[in-house]
Amino acid sequence: MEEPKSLLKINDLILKFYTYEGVVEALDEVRLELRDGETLGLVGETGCGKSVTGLSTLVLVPPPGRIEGGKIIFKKKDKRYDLLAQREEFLRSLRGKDVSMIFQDPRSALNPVYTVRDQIVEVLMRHKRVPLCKKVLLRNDLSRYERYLYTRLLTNPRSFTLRILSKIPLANRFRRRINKVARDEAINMLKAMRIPDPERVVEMYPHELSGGMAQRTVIAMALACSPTLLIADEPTTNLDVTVQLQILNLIRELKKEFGSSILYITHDMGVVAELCDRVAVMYAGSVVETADVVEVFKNPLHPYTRGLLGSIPRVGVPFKSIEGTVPSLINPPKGCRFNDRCPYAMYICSQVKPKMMEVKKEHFVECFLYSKGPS
Amino acid sequence: MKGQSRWQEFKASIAPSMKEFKFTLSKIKKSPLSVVGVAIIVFFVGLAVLAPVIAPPIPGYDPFMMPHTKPYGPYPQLPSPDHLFGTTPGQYDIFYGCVWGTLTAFRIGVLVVACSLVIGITIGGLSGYYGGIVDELMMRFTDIIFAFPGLLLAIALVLALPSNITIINVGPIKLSMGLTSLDKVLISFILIGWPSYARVLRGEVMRVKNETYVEAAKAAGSSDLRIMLKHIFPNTVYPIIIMSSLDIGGIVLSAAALGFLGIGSPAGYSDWGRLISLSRDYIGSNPHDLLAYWNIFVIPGLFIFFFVLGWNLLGDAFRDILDPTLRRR
Amino acid sequence: MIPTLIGVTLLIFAVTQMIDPNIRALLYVTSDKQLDKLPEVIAKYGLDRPFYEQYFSWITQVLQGNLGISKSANNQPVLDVLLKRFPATLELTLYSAPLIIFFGIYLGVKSAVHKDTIIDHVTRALAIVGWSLPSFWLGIILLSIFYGGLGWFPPARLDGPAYTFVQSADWHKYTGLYTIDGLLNGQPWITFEAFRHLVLPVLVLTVIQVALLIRVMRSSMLESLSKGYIVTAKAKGLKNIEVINRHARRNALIPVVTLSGMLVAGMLGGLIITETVFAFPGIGQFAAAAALMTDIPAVLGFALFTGTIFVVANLLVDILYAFIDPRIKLG
Repeated sequence: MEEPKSLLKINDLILKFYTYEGVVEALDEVRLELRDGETLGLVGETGCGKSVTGLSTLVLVPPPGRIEGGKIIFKKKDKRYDLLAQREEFLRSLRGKDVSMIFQDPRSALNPVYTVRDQIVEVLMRHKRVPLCKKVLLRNDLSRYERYLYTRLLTNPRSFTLRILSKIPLANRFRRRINKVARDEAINMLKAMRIPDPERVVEMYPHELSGGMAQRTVIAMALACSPTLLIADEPTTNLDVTVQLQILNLIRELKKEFGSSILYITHDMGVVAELCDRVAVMYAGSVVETADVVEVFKNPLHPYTRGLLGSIPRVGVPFKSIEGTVPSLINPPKGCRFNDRCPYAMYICSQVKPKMMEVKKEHFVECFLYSKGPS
Repeated sequence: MKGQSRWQEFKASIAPSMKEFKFTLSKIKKSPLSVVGVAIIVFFVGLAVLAPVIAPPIPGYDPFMMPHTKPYGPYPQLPSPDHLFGTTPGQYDIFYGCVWGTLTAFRIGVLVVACSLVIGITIGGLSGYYGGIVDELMMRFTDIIFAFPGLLLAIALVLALPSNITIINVGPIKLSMGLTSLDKVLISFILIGWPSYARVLRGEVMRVKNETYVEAAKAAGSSDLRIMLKHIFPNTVYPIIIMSSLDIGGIVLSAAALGFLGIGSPAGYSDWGRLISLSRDYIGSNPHDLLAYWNIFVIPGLFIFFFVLGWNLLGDAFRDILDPTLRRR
Repeated sequence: MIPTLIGVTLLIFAVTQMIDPNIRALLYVTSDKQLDKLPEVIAKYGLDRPFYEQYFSWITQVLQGNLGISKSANNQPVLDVLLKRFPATLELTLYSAPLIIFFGIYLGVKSAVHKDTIIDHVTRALAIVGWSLPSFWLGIILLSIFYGGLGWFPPARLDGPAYTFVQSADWHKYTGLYTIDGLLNGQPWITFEAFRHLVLPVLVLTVIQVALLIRVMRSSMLESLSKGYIVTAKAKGLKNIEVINRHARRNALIPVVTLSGMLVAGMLGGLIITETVFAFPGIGQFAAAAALMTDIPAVLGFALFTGTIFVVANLLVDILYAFIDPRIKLG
């Protein structure tokens, strides 16, 4: 039963990577729910599968990865779609427009041979051609020829004749209109990102930008078409600490301005506390606990979450860490994957994988400690 | 018991390299192109080794000179039971020439590449590791050599090199050597070839010497030589391997081209390119004869083609296999 | 650039100095009678002077445009011969280079995008086969079939009535390229004949050189496709072709452009073997013949000519590189 308020629901997602060394079972029946207007934090250590969960939502997992089961249900304009069952054409219309992603390393996410303008305009041209044409037609200095062409474009944005026309050197001068309008939009986006002097920055190349500016550009590209869902994959990890704070504040403000819901992937519990409404904790390919952020900090239920919170360094308190290491996902152990490190492990934990259960109101855990069945 | 644990230690320390090696072997087996390449080379090696048996030389004559048979007529002959591949204008036995040509090809290819390698690695390695003026000089020098089309420089060198060089002239000791045309070709190829290796190795050394593990070795007090041999060399050698196996093919092609022009070995020598040059008269004047006596150029050419193909396939396969960025997919 | 050029001249000169002065003196000998007067010849032309003196006098001559007399070309000045023959080499390059570059890029991209599929394997196999072919062998084979057997595509640049026509007074030389001049002279049949003679050498050059370009383009493309901005582009909802052409290929082309530049430079510097096989009257054929006749001024002059082209091309390629890669700044 889907909650009426959920924007994104991932049900039992299974993802495997077929490598030379063996089959990596990266995601093992992941369950996730993101509601309208909320910021959901997806936390876990490196390698637990949080990044590929983000990529899977866009159905962009590179080979040798293969999604082998589950559903990803996304709500667009009050209709629900299982993204894994959709055609590529449909998915492409979603990417960049309804669902966007920002990445960990802004420098490598940007193409070094194109300016900031080119890269933001690219996503605008892909999804917002018609509104841009409308803007062009609002001007009163168009020639008859240009007015005719743009009205044609309104009704038929992918018009064949117009595409041919845009390849012919002298005839394609009409494109400067829409290019100018798009450039203005790009500058507006940069202003929204609180970038000073956007007219100058918009013509710069990625290698000329600082880390913070580059990340703002990436965010600008992602929010240009006002997506309902923004997936942020550790956007501040590669930045300086001072810049981190700026970007976090920016994201918080932008969420209010653009009205997007955010899936915030991170390994930093501090960021989660700052930014998120709810948290999902991931370990070795599964989500082990999901709850309201305050609730999780006050009342961590899963042993892993407890260990995670307990291991945050605090002045005056002896340093604690979780014993053991993450198991290899190539031949993962039977049953609960946290079993060998869990201080409360029971026999059943090594035999069967626990199912996600609502232990308290809106607080879900995958752990036999809380199951009410026979143990 | 102490010896036992040392052996275990050794095995443990090379275990990761062994794993990589096995991985490499499995990739070689999976790629059909590299298997074909290896097969071709093995075939030619066999041919070279068995040359005296398949095409017995005439006693008293240089085995590399092709037998001249009577009647001496100007026209070449098509393959016949007497002459398996026929004869050239001038009545040289093509079969003999092709078989012994294999030996010539190996000699040229392996010698040139080996010497270029040794010189190139030494100079490139030192240049890359120590940098400074030595490096600058080497770069300028190789720039100049690269500014030439190789073939022209080779021709010029072959013309210019004296036929007699004095290696040692100290006091009463005088050691000189006569250089045949073919030797001159080899020397000029080596002189032109080593800069490429030097450049590549220098680039690799410069890349590696700033890596953390080299710093660590230095901090631990290892001598320069030890660092070079143990850390730098294994990590820089892969592109060189690829280059050399591709180069063997390239050198043989260039040597064949020179032979075709008439430079290098004398007429009648078992050299594939030289064999084909004997058919040059027919190109301009008697095009119809050219087609009729196809064997005089098609067959030696096939030998050249397959020999070079074998090494190219191998080199290409090496590149696929050893390139670290492409490996894990 | 200048130091390299000077180095080039030094190197050529050093190579020729290795030749015994007696042999070099032979160049200036016009009849057998003078053979026993060699020492005088050597003294007269300063052939046994110190290296730097000879080099200096040679360089001064060169800078005045005097590259010496070529005995293999009937005692004409070397520079004149080179300039007269250059259009032939230029024409060959003009028609081969675009083919090589176009097919190299196209097939390289296709190969990379469809990595490990049948397209990839076939393309790479063909490329390796092409690279392994001896150019003169391919040339002779094609000649024997298409000229000896069928008579369609002859060697040399022009023959028969076309040849006589371009020597006559009715022919005006505009560019030196017969394919273009034919049209400019209003004689399209000359253009046709010129193309007919070009088919085989251009084919040989293309088949062999395209292999290298395919290989470089492919590996560059593969590297580009593994970069982060490709995922970004896909996340923007772009179509696959758009991602490949606009993002991956644009970055992958950068090293390919430099390679193409050097390729063209190499071709302009004289295709020694191809021109010899097809008896094409370019500077390469001249150099090969000159070398075999120990025509030292000719070889020297040719080396200088080619070396200069290379150095200039290198410079142009560097400039081009700065244009297409915004990360590089001209310094």
